[in-house]
Amino acid sequence: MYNNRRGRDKDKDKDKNAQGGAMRRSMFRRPKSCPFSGDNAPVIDYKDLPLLERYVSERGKIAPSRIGTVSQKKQRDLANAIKRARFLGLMPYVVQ
Amino acid sequence: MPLYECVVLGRQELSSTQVEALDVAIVDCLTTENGQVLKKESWGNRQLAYKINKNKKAHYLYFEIDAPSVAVDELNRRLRIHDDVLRSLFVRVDKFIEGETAMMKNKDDQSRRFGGAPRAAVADQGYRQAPKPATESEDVQ
Repeated sequence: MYNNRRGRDKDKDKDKNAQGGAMRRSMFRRPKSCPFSGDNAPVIDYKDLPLLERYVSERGKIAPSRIGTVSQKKQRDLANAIKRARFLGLMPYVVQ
Repeated sequence: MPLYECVVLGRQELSSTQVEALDVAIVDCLTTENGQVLKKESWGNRQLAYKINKNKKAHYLYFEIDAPSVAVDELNRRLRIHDDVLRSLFVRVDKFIEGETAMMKNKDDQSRRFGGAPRAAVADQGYRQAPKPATESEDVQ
């Protein structure tokens, strides 16, 4: 996106890059895709602890869908699975 | 008849014969009500993520059931009364996941989880990195 600019603008960009290059790069959004959609996606299952554990914070909280790039539909299933695992004592409600 | 997954937690002090007796009682209860147990698994005496009725561990039993809802209601009622049962969960499913459950596949790395050794360092913000599809890993920028 930024690479398409020409001429004077390019020079300006150089100046800016000297200061905030790192910041600019981090602003770039990679296209998101849901890890549970598509062909050979894993099935969301309350018994699959290593899978569920990836979508939980250190504290044991369910990660927001923007962190896991999970679609809204799958995020509901995921939250449900995590709650089932918690009820069965497989996952903690809180980690002290 | 509808399909159900069922997980039952038995008290930690139960001996293996007592667990077996519990198992038999559950199967009996279902079969008398025209139900059927399609698959059984025992996940063993597992560490609980938090204490339940002063139990730090629990015997996990897992069943895949094909039974009328009456049978499942009756079993649920009995399990609630049963002294050796800490908790039970019934989930109605459209179809079972084939092969052994994820719990059996991942059995070996159980110890590192909650209540065990400290967890590995986590990425920024305290969230684990979501797995990225292989196709879009390096081409950005």
